Amino acid sequence: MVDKGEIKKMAIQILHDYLGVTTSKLYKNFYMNQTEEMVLISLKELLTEYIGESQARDAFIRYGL
Amino acid sequence: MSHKLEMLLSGTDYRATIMKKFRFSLLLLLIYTLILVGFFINRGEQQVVINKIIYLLGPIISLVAGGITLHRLGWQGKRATVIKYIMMALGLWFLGEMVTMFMILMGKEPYPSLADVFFLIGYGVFSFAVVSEAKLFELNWNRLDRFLLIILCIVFALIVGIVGYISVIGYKPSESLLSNLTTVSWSIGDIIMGGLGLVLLAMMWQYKNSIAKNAWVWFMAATMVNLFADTIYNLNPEAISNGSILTIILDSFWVGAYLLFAGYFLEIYKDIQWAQSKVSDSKELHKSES
Repeated sequence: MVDKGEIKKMAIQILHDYLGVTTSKLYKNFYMNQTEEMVLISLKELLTEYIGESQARDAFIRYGL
Repeated sequence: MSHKLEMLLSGTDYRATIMKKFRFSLLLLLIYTLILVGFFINRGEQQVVINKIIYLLGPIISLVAGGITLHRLGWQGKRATVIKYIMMALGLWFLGEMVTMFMILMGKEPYPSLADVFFLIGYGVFSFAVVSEAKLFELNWNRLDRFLLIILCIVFALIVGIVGYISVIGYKPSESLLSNLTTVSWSIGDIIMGGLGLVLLAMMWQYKNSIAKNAWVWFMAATMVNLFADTIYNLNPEAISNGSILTIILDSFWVGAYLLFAGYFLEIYKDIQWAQSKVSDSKELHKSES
């Protein structure tokens, strides 16, 4: 698992890969004022809807979240 | 869970709103219907040429849809690369269509010609795009249902068998080496197309409970429609320009495949819009609360 300080960076990386640079930039600005916990919950919910529950879980593991 | 968090996380309502606003599938269906009507209007001797010009709307619309999606997605990133590959393949096919049209305009036989080279390279680029998409979304064959895997293998074997058979009967010693080589190359291209469709089907299965799979439904449909039309074309290459009813049927399938590719792009556009609207609405919520 990545360091706490890296969580936001990896979350943005996942969004960059799956949903493109424009979306990741939007979320980068939004995540700036969120706690790490909130970022993880938000990202998990978004990915679960977008790629499904088990795939989202796998993506989290793959990106060390 | 706080009201703020609930609002942040609930995407369903936003998606429904977006879908109501933009029913691109109906728009594509309307365009397709108009193109078909255009094909069937009798214009006498000019029928073939005018139909080929109308036909070009298919690749143009798919490329425009790709451009719009890429603009929304952003030009960098892994998904953007996949879309760029697909656009490149469609661009090559568009060049092939242009060459075909000009050869018909000049009264020359478009098969075999430079057009076939563009089409066949396009197949290769499509393969690269689908493999990249499968890698990005971590397609895992081991996770697929055994029954589905068996079905996929049988279908692929059938495609190889049918296309291979057509390739063998399409070989004519009286024709030039180039002509026969082109026929065989088309068959290989069709086997690739069938394989790509099955890879996309496997991805749809793995991601069956997700939004992401919707785009692959369009893509897979495009590959299958294209494969079907190509198979008929391999059996009757002269039908590409002889102005028969088969020419219109073939063009109808191919233009349909192009519009399905446009649907693939626009489905991704919708997904991106959905994801972006979630964060935009959350920001609005923050502003109104502070």
